[in-house]
Amino acid sequence: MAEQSTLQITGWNVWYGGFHALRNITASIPASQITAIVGPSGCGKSTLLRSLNRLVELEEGARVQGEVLLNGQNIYAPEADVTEIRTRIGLLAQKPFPLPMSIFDNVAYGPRLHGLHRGHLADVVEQRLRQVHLWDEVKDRLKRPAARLSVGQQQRLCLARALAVDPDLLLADESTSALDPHSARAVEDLLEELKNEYTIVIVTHNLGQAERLADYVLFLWLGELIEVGPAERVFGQPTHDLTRSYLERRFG
Amino acid sequence: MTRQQAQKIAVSAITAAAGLVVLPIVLVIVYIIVMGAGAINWTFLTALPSEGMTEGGIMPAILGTVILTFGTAIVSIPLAIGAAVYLAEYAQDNWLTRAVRLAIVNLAGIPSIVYGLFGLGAFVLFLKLGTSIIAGSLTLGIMTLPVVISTSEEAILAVPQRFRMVSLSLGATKLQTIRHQVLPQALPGILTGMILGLSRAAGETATLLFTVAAFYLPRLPQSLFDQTMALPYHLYVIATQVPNMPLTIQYGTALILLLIVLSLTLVASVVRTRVRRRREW
Repeated sequence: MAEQSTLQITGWNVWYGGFHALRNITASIPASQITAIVGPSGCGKSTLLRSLNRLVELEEGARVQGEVLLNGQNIYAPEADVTEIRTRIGLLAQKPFPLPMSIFDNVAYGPRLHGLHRGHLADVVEQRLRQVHLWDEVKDRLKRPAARLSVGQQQRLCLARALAVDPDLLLADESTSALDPHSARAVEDLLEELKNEYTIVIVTHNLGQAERLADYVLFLWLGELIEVGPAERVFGQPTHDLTRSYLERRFG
Repeated sequence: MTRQQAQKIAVSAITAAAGLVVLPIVLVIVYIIVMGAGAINWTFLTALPSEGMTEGGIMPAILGTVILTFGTAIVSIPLAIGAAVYLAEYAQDNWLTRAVRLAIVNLAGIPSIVYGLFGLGAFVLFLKLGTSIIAGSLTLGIMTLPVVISTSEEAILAVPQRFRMVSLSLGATKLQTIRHQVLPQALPGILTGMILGLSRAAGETATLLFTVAAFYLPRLPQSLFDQTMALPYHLYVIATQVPNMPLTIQYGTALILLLIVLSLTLVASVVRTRVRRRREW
């Protein structure tokens, strides 16, 4: 089982050129739970998520300020090893992006980069594909291009690929929004299963999904963190007017 | 005239223009085949020239062109791919980047005879390589750089950003991402650029003039420091410098040169479709 990881965000700011995308965010994300970042479009949800594995700094003109501590270590410290950090943090993107290679090679991509599991790579691939309940569907065509899988299967493949580098933390950026309802539910169920082993952070537009999955919620509004707390409390008794009106508008 | 008539006339004119583009290439190929096919036989391909080149074969010239094309590839491809990766993946807006881009634009605009003179000055005389295969390859290699760099850079930039993100998010270094994702996916485009550059090099005459080409050398080159005959220059020589040259030999030589260049292009497109088919996204 992976180490139980906590994440502490302190005084976090992101600018894209002159645009102040995230303003002074401070929050801590609990271990072995699903934390959902919710809020209207353009409020900075994805930016916050991509701050957590240092992908945000690859955007054109992005500038950051503040601290993100993963198990007490600042991942933005000058001496931090960015590839090691990204290895510990798996990312499931909005759409499934299988690499243009076989199903097997997709899952094996990460371990091969890091020289992990030499000699028993096939076992690792099987284990990860079983973990996302894809093994039985693909075991006879592991050498086929991953792009031939259905979109739902591709997304589970991408999850298996992310898990194959043994991350502590799993980020999911609206990972079900491109999927049909059935496949979306399959991915939701997987995240639910995985939260015992991994700390999970999701971004979602879908409040129903946030309610189903989240143990802990961050509500963002125009780049500011408005409300944060256990899901039951935030959804049940929001303390801030903005949260209340956002939730009400969605629920009708 | 109604709008419909105008439309019809315009479409006809555009189609005719497109058709006319095909015409010269077909004419050139057909004409050279008709005039030169008679010269082609085993002796022509494998024998040394004899009787002041009016008899025998053109084997040294064929071999010379093949060697020079390989030499050009060895000189230009590593440099060009390195430069393209730098420009596409690492370049920031600084003096080095601007200098590299300026150099590429200018290299592309230099007439080939100037390359020839540069090769003579820099490689043949200054580096004392003599008129040699190595001097010719270096000169042709530099001449080929701009086209290979530009097409490779475009191919690298065309690789969707999401693959880089996936690779990086799995903890790959930038170099690993380039090596395992970007370059393999850019390969078809890079190959196209390479072949474009090499086929131009294979047909180049003026560049060879002072750096490598022998007017008449009825033996095979002994080393990289030896001169060699080459098809384009040989063609120029037999077409203009040798009296009483049989026409069929001239056209036969042209046909062989054309076949070498066309087969390069053919190999490139076959490889390209193969590679593309393997990588679906």
